[in-house]
Amino acid sequence: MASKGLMAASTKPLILSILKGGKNYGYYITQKVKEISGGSLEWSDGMLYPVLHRLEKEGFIASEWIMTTTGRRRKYYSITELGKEELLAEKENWLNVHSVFAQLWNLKPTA
Amino acid sequence: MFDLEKEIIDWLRTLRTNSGFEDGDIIEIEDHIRHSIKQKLDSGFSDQKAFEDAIISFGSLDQTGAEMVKSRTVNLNAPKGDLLAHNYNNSTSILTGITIMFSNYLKIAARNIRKQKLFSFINILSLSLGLAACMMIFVFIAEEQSFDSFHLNSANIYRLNEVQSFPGTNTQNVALSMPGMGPNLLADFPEVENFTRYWGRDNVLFEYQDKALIIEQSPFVDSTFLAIFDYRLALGDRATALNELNSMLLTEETAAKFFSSNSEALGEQITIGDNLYRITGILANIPENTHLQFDALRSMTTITRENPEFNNRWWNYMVTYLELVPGSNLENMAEKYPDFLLKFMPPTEGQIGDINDNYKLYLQPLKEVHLASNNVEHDYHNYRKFNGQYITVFIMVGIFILLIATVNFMNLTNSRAIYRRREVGIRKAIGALKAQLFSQFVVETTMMSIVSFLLAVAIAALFLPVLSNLINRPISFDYFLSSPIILVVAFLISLGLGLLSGIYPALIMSSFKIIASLKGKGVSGGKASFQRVMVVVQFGLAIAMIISTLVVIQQLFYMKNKDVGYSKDQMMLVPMNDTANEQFQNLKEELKKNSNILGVTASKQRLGNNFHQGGFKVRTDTAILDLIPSFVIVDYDYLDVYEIDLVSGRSFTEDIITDNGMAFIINEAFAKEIGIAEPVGTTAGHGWYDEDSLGSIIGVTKDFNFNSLHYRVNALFMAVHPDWGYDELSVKINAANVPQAIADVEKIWSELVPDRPFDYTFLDAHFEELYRSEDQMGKVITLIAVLAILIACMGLFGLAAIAMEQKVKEIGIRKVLGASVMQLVIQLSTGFALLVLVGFIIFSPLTSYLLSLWLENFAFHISLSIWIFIAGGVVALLIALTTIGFHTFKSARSNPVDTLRYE
Repeated sequence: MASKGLMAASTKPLILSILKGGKNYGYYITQKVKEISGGSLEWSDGMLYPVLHRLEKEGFIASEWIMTTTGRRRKYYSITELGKEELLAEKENWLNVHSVFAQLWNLKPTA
Repeated sequence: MFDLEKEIIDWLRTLRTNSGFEDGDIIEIEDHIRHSIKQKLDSGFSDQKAFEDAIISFGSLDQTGAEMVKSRTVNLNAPKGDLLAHNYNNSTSILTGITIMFSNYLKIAARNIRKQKLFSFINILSLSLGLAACMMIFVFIAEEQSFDSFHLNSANIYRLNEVQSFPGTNTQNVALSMPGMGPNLLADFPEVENFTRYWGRDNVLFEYQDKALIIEQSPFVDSTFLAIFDYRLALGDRATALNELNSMLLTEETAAKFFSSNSEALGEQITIGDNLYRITGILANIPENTHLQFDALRSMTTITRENPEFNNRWWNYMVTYLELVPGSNLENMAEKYPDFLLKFMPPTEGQIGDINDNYKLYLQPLKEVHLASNNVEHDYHNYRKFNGQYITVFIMVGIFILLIATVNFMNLTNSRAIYRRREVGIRKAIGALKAQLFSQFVVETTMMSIVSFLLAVAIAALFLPVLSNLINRPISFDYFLSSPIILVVAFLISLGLGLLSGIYPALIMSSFKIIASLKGKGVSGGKASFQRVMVVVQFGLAIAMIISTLVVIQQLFYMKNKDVGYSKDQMMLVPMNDTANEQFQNLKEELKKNSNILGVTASKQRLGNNFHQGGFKVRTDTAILDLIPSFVIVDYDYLDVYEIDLVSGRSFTEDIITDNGMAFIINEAFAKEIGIAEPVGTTAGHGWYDEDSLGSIIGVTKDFNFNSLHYRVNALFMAVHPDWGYDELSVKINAANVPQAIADVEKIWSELVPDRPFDYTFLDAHFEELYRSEDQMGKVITLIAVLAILIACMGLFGLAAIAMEQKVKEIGIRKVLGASVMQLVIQLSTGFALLVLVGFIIFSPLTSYLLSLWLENFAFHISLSIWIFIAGGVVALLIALTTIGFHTFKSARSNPVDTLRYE
């Protein structure tokens, strides 16, 4: 299980990456995180929402309310242009970090 | 059985109490949790398991809530990276923090108001009714107090009044003065800067070309009138308009009756009697809020130019106004009045004492003429005179109402606090400071008070026209619009009220102990006893108002229906001119032929006011008594037509020649005054009769209330002087045929008195005028009492609802143990009934004291009966029990299975 600090740092690229695949809503995003991390990055579901709101406020993602077939309103999030740029930057950072550790721990380079 | 839907809703409810979540967040999270549960159900979990798992994986609400708050305070300038970290380091973000905190308070407040609909409705409506009532009372008072304030120099204008103390008569203040007083006061007193006299002239016939109309009030005034008073002039020069003899000013309204435009009227001449008056100006219509109301002004010069001695006449028949040098000392002036009076009215030879034994002068500030003239008689030019003491009553009543409404507000908020102890507990547990909780609750009450204020403005705007109609006063909401500062003040008051009434409940709530409040335990007994005290105060005040209303209505009824000693119904009064007097006998005969007319008589003065006073001599065994009682000159059959009873002696008759001028009828009060056991036959006469040629007293009447019931019956004598002429014809008509009778009188009048258009009033209308102050007060008090009890009941209704909810279990257990519905209702009502009773006991003595003070205003009044008090108390109790009855019955009839199961 990842440390709290690491998790906190990784939520942004994680969410942005998921949303890059298309607009989606909160519950789906939590499930997706669980799915791809195989449980190693498990937050409590609730904590996702403050992060989403914050990202929205910073302009990296946008949200809209959509009426579902069951008659409930559901909030969908999508990545913005600014978000895509941010994701690129993040990706670079993380890859840098990754390559540093890869060297350090003698892992095979990914590329 | 696990109820999934109910659990979800409960969980969401908990979410709502967390201020971290906004409305949108809650919808989003609901969607999340339902989705999550559905997923788990699909994979075969039971309802309960699915729910519990979903909740667990959602995680801590408090933590999420806290993060939600942080996410809203994102500082965009903060270094990127750690998303969950937040930054309160600079002042802007503290400010944003506070704004967000505050807007969060507002949101929670709005949510609570919406959530507790009945409670909020009662709370807001009762406060706004109270505020609206106060606003209306305020407009009423403001209108009353605005009287004569438009005269720029009003602070230095005074009306010259007299205190008359004549032998044989009650001492009285009068709004009368003598023609010589104005000019000579100006000459002798350096303090007097200017004077104007106002010599009223009622119902005068104005003729212009083919138009002839009776104009109600066209007084003679000095040329200085428009310099002292600021009645607006639409046309003409106010400095010179009244300088010349036969000059006249018409109001626009009067001018419009004769001319098509103001300018057309200017310079035209109107015939009044033998005189031609030139119109030298047009007055703007006289505003409502001034005690002098006239349709035309005639120049006093018309009289004084031809009779300069008029300025040295020393008997009373007009009103004088003085303008003083600012800062004049009224007491210094008062010291000089006796010498002044003596200088112009020296004692005649052989006179015992002097003028100062009978007359005292005093100055009444212009501002007091309207509201403080209740003890002033012969006050003929005082439009809508109002008893200023009633203003105090109204202010008190306003404060009462506001108090009741405030108490309601506090009480309801307070009781409601019990329901929120869990919320308070949770908030405290997640770290809310006492101050934060405190402000949260104060924001809530303030918000309610603001809503109440807005509603109050709407209610006031809606009901002012109704009230204005009801009490026949031109009060309107425009008053607020023209001086919005009043609205601002009202707003601030309600804001302050909201704050104040929020503080106590806020203190109580914010001081709840966490553990106790989370466990749902009640709070200490202190609060409940506070509530009880408040209910006592509220109902005490409401009962006081009910009793006052009953007493005021009873007194009004008494005044309107008391046997005043003469018949005042269907008595038609027609003003008489010279022709009518010349034709009097014909008029009388013709009228009496008509079957709709039951009697015709005439007099020089109308019943309902004090009569003029005049000298009267009575010869006793030892001496001649000189007295100055009230007197009235009447027609021979006056006593018959007015059905005034004689105690002894006989009435006037035309058959006895000496009844013309030499026969006098006195009343019992006068008989008592002269102390003669059998006055009939006693030698007596007018004060100016020679001692050797006096007439005699021929009869004694029962005391009848010729003056209003505010006053004792003064000593009175009546005499017949057909050659003096009468002022008013009294025609008693058949009640069954009033319109026909009026038409008949008019027809006969027009034939015999062609030079004077027919004009009439009814005596009972005149009496209504006399008691208008009381009548209006009665109506306002009644209205306010209804409001007071309504507001108090709304509060009680809310309190009862809360009390019953608290007793749900107790009631259930009692039922299980065999209590009947009736027993329970009695059991539940007793507590409230006791509070009402205590309120009654505490407030009754005070009410009784205030009411007896009020009744002292009337020489003739009802006595306060214990039954009125008991009736007031019982009415209040019944209303209170009915109000809570809804709840008591509901609770008493509830199924114990439902009420006990909820544990």
